[in-house]
Amino acid sequence: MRIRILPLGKPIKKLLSLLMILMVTMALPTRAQSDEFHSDQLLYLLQQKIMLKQLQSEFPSLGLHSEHALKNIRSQTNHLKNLTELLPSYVNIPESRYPNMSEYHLSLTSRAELLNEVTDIIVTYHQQAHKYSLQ
Amino acid sequence: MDFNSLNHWQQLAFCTAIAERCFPNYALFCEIESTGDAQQVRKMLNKVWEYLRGQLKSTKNIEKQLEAFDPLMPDTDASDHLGAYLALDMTVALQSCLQSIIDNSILDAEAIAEMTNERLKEVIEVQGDTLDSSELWLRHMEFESKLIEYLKEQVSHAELIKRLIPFASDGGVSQVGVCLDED
Repeated sequence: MRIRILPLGKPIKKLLSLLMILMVTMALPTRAQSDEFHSDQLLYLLQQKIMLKQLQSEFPSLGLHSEHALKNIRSQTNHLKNLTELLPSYVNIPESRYPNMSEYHLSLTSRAELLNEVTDIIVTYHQQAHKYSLQ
Repeated sequence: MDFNSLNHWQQLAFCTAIAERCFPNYALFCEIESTGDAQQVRKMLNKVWEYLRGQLKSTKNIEKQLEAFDPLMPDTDASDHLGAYLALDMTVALQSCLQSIIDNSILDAEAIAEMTNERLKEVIEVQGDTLDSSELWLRHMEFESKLIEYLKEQVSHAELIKRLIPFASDGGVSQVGVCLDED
């Protein structure tokens, strides 16, 4: 497999050359901690959410007295902590960040849905942690 | 874009198409950083297409794929640059697809679409271009709306996926213009 960039027309060609340079050389050392990149915040939130969903779907199949169940709940606690730490900055993205009201509105819908999902995750977390602590 | 009108299968197909379109970014990252495993990720993506076509008999294999997923994800602590984030976006989209096969309460199409769009905006912003004049942006918006049109077509799943795979791979060119050539 050979990888090339610049498959499109001329206007893109210039942009992609720049992109290639960026991808290879542009190091952003504080990027991971930065609030600047909305895409990163969403990416990390999705990652944490996927991990939590995965752990929560595995939990019922683990023996309640087992070491695995304890590990599962501990991992859930860590991911939940990461998730809730990231949530405020994601929810705080201001209107001025969007080019128009329509995109802003879509983003608000998306944020509301994510908050709904996080609520479900927290409820399940408490149910599973409670189940474990009762044993 | 109204994602609420899409059912679970359609949302999964949407996310898979986005992952397919972003795959060249991951392959490029693996090539540059000599890390990850583009072939393995390609196989996982094919499994999801297989599921969408109705050809996957058991989800056991998907569970195994998920267990093996972590080492394939770009480490943004080690490679903290734009290319790593573009590659990570692809793997998170794919991970969501795999997880969604096992848990049908997962409806990530809107979040994945927003993540991909925001990443592309970031690329365009870094390049000093505007959305209105960016060929990449226009191309991607066209791709998204056409994708939704495809998903709403009244044809069998197998037939739709047959059309969707070449459309999503878009000649092997990703949303940021990275292209794979098969020798």
